[in-house]
Amino acid sequence: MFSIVSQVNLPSASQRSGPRRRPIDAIMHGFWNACEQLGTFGINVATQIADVAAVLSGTVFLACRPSSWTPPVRNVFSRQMLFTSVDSIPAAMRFAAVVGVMGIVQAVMWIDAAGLSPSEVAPILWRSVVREIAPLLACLVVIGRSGIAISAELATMHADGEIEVIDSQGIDPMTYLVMPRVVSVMISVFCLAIITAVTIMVTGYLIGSSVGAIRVTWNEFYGEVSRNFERGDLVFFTSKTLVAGGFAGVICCLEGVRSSGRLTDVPRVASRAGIRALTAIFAISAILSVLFYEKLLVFKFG
Amino acid sequence: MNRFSAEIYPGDFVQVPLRQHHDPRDIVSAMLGLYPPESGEICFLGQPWSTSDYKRQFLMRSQIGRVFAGTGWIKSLTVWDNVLLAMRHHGVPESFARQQVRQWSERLSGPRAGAVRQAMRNRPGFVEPSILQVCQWIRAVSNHPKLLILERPLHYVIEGLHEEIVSVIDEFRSAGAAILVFSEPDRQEDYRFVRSVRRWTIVGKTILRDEETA
Repeated sequence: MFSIVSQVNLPSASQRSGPRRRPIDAIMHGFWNACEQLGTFGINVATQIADVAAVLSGTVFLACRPSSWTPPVRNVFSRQMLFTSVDSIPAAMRFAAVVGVMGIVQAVMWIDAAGLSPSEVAPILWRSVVREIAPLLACLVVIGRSGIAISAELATMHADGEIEVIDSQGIDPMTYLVMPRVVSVMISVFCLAIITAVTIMVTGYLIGSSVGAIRVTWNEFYGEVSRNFERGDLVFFTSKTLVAGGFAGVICCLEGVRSSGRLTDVPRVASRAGIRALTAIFAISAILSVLFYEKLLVFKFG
Repeated sequence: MNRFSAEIYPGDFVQVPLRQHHDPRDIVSAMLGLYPPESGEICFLGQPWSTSDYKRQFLMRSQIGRVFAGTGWIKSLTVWDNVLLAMRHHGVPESFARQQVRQWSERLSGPRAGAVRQAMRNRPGFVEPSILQVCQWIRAVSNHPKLLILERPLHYVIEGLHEEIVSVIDEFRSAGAAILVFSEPDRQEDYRFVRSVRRWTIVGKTILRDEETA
């Protein structure tokens, strides 16, 4: 049998930890560490929001200046509108139809459970559609279909040196690449949100009346809906869709332009842009609802 | 560039001999004000890039013609739209821009005029390099630039076109444009210029300024 025995002088517990720290010091140390982490996170978030806000304000400034709309910029804008807005209509209508049917199912359940009449539920449904569901659904469609494509396209252009080519010829990439895309995303979200809201209501009525959940005529239903429409809703709807669309467009463009310049990074950049844009629009929807209606939920029962 | 100071005046022709592994793209982009130098400054028309506002920078860059080393195209546009892009953006009337491109196209394509016309309708990815390089030349000279920066300008260009290109360069010099060429030395011998040529040489990773040669 062969064995090795060695003697190792291990340091004592007090030697290992150095000078003994009082418990209060350790707690304070942990507290300041946590503060530092939180502060770094807060500064990062604030910096990112400031970047997005700066690009958004620059975009609005450029869009308001007629000299920015040169023929190539108009060309990019029209192609982006076609892709983001017109081509997205079928997808938006499909999603809206499904949401409309689900909304009616939920309404029927509420009516049965709470003993309410359909006229009491209609305003709630309409407001939830106009104020929250339609803008959010339009944003989801635009980000999923176009926002990710925009970030992937810009990241590829960056990797291929195309942005450098544009810049070398004295063409401002912000004017030629970013501004028309962001403006088209803003307009697309607004238009698609209107189409979505109308589709939800029409599909909801058609399905609801066909299964007997809605027992009023279309004129009565439409009259009930239009009576519940307030001027404030229009202001809220417009501002929400434009702001959320603007943030989504800018985030997708920024992610694309800021990519590392390697083609292998393009898929990662595209997915990150999609996630960040979605996070931003959910946050913006919540913040705008709170600011506009001065409460966490836009509904007020009773 | 390190401790490098030089000027290019109207009518000058400056050659920078490259080796095969050299890529002049970054240094040219720095000369165009796209990247700021670590120290010192780069001026164009007496104006440093760093002190000019963005609008002026873009206007200044529109007066520089560039033949890129490597890919210099926007892949989603046709070659025709690529060539006209800068002129359209800078407000050159469409009819005049088209006329300029057609005129330069006829002159620079030589026996391959038909192929160039055909290529203009396609996207750059579907066009062969020798035709694309001619189209780069057409794009660089169509807007009558004050400075022509040429990165490996005769790369892929068929020999039959060299003389015409040399005459175009000479014509631009006579009209007061400055020419800066980054190219392999054997390629530079293709240029037969009647007037003086200045050289900057590359030693290691540093550009040095040479004396003027007749």
